[in-house]
Amino acid sequence: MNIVIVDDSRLARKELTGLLLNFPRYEVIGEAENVQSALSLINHLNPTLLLLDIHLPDGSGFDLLEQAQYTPKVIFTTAYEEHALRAFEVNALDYLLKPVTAERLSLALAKLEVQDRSVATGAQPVNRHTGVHLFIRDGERCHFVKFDDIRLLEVVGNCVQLHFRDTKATLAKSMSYVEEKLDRRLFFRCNRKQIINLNFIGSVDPWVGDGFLIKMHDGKAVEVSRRQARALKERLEL
Amino acid sequence: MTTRETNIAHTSRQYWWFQLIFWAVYWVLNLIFARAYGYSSALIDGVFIVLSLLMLAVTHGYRWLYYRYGQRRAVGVICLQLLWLLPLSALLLQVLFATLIYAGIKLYPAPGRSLGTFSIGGFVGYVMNTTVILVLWSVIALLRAEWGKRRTAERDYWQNEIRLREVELQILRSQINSHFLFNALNNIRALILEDVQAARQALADLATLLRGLMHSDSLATVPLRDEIDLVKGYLALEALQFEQRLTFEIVMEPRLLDAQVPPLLLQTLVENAIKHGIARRNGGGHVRISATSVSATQWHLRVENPPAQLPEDHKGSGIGLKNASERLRAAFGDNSSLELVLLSTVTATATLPI
Repeated sequence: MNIVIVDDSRLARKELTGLLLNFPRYEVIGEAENVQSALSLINHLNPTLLLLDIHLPDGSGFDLLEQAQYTPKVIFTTAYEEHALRAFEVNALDYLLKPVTAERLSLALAKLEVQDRSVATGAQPVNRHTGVHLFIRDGERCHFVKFDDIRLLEVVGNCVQLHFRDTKATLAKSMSYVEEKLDRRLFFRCNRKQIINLNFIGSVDPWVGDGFLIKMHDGKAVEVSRRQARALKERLEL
Repeated sequence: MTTRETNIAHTSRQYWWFQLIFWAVYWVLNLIFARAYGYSSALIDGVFIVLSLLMLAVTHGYRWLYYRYGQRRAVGVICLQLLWLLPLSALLLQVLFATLIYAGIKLYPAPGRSLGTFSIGGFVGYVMNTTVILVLWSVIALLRAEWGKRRTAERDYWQNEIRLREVELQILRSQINSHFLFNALNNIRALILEDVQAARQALADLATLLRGLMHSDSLATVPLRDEIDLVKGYLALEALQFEQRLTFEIVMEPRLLDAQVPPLLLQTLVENAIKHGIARRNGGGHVRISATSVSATQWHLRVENPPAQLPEDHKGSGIGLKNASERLRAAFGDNSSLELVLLSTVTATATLPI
């Protein structure tokens, strides 16, 4: 598994690199000391995992994730509990408090591998270009959302609202930006404002103007415009 | 609690002196008026002593009511209650007084002691006179009580301020602990693999810094010399984090080394310079610390650093600086000040008395 370490302290990077020598399955392929250099490393090297410090000279670790085209798996490393806990209030991968012990690192990596296996056996197609997660910062809260878990994406004003698991979050990006990251085999654009995950469809019924009305598993109704109805028929082989 | 108890005892003695003098004066005035109207006898003097004692008893009753029911109420509400309480008690007092005189004359008749003629007009006059005196007494007593209450509140306020300051200093210490301390430990951990001598020195610096933090007291001041030592240790540890990205110089007028400063003042300023300046620049920067006298009575303690690369989201910032400013004022009052100027460099200047 390829790892990029992002930390502004050389000694802190050295410490992590040294610890990772105990784990032959993991290889450190790059180190960055600020958001800018980390961004280019991530976009060029497509690492599987980031060990990411929260405080960086030109922004925070969250800024980095927000700007990256590709969201790798992330383990935060921080000396400052408060910040880390705030980020993990909802759900994220894991975090390590500095100084990091080999035992604690081992646990965090084991947790990742468990998640990896569940993704692999889930038989869901994975968009290698964007990773399996989407990072969303909604005000104070940060979410790492698996694309599989997203049921519905909706345009709300200038933002996109994502419905996943039992909650929803707002991403301050355009719908076309988000659509590019989605796996086209899994997601379908029903109309100008809504994209759904095909795995969450409950029923499809004919609707006015040669369209469809889709009932999602959670009971939410989504209209499919006439233009998109034909495409949906092909996708679902109706 | 002891201050409060002695305060009450003190108030109580003051109260009894007030009562004694007030009603003694009342008694003497009554005698003067009686003589002016041509009445003068030992009996009359005695009767007026009884009147003064009755008044004293009634007003002592007022005091009891005040402490029992009135203390927490607004002055306006108390005054409204007095509107009916004062005339009523004046009336009852005069009825009691008249009854006592009547009984006295009946029980111990003697030549020259007569009841005279009872007139409603005269009685109403006595009641009104008594009411006026009671109003006068109440106004004085109420003012005194309210003033005392205010003074207690003010003293409590300052005591709370001091306690708050202590808590703030504790929080300040723990802030330094949580963020900086763990980074320092992490860096030293890596340094052990790289340079054992440097790691040993770093641990000694950390020990000096921790000792300084633990011993600092919010009320006392320390010599600048001690604060500089602490800051040098702090900077050495930050240098592990930032390496070549952090450079610093300390320029001191030797005679200022014994000047007094609030504990952790310089440390707070330097920490701010690093947290909001050096740490937020890809290339880091230079911190300049200087102490210079500006007049015969004042000197400047100054920390300069380059500004952050990106504008900060100002969440939670400024607390350390505000705290430092308040501690400076608590130590030196109006002779001191703290200002932050943001230009091409960020300059924090504390002005202190020599």
